[in-house]
Amino acid sequence: MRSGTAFTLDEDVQRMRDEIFLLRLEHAVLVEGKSDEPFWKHLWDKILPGRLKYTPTYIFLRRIRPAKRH
Amino acid sequence: MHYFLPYASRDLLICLDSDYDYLLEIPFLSQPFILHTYVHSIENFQCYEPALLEVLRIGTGNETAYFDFETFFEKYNRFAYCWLTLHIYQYQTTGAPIRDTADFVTMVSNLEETFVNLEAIPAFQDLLQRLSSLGLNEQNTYLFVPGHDLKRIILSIIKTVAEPIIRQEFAQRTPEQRAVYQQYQRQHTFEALLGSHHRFEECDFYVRLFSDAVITLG
Repeated sequence: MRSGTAFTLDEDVQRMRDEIFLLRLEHAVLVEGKSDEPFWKHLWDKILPGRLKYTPTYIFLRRIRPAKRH
Repeated sequence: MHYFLPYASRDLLICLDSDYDYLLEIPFLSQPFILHTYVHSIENFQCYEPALLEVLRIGTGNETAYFDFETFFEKYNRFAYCWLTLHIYQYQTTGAPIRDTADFVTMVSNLEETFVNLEAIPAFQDLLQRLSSLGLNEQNTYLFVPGHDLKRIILSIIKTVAEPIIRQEFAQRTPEQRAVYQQYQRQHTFEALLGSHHRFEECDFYVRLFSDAVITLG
């Protein structure tokens, strides 16, 4: 039972699901939107070989950053 | 999705468009294992000025196709610089949200006058100084405006310039050659060409991003 946090039960359940999901992946690259994937893949493909044990999985999400005013 | 940010690590690299967060110096962008574009978004890299003439020429299949992108961006940047710095100033002083560039044209008539008036205000001078230290200037502002808006404008220019060239190319060909030309065009759309070139790798901000990525993994 959490105390002193603003999380709702639904948010906590979602958070736990995400944590489980993330822990199952060896390496992951999170990008915002499917259309961004080729750009980031091109960049990481030049850097990653030999630096990570596994080829990363690319995951695209609609939003990653905190909500903002601007 | 912001709860992914605390999990950023060597095993979970988070890659973002900077949007306005870089110019506003929002702290989360400097967290380890979070990579961001510096320019507003990936679309701004796609519209990197030195790449555009080649995109026009490949898309039309005509090596002499021409549009003076340099002059276009000179004019665009002059207004975009006033527009963007004014919006950031308004955001920082009043909290007014920074809008997309839809009001760009309506503001053009009094934009420079407003800018000149503001230049006398020390707080505005400080802002210009700060933005300059981040790399924003009157020659590269197109890299920091909303990328989707910029790409829409650039595509509109390229297609307008390309249309008569493509018509001419088509008229010069035999029926068999026309079929080949049409097939070529389907395979080389301007949208795809903007999304697949890598000329932006010479852009200072991409160099910085690449360097960040290398340093991130040690």
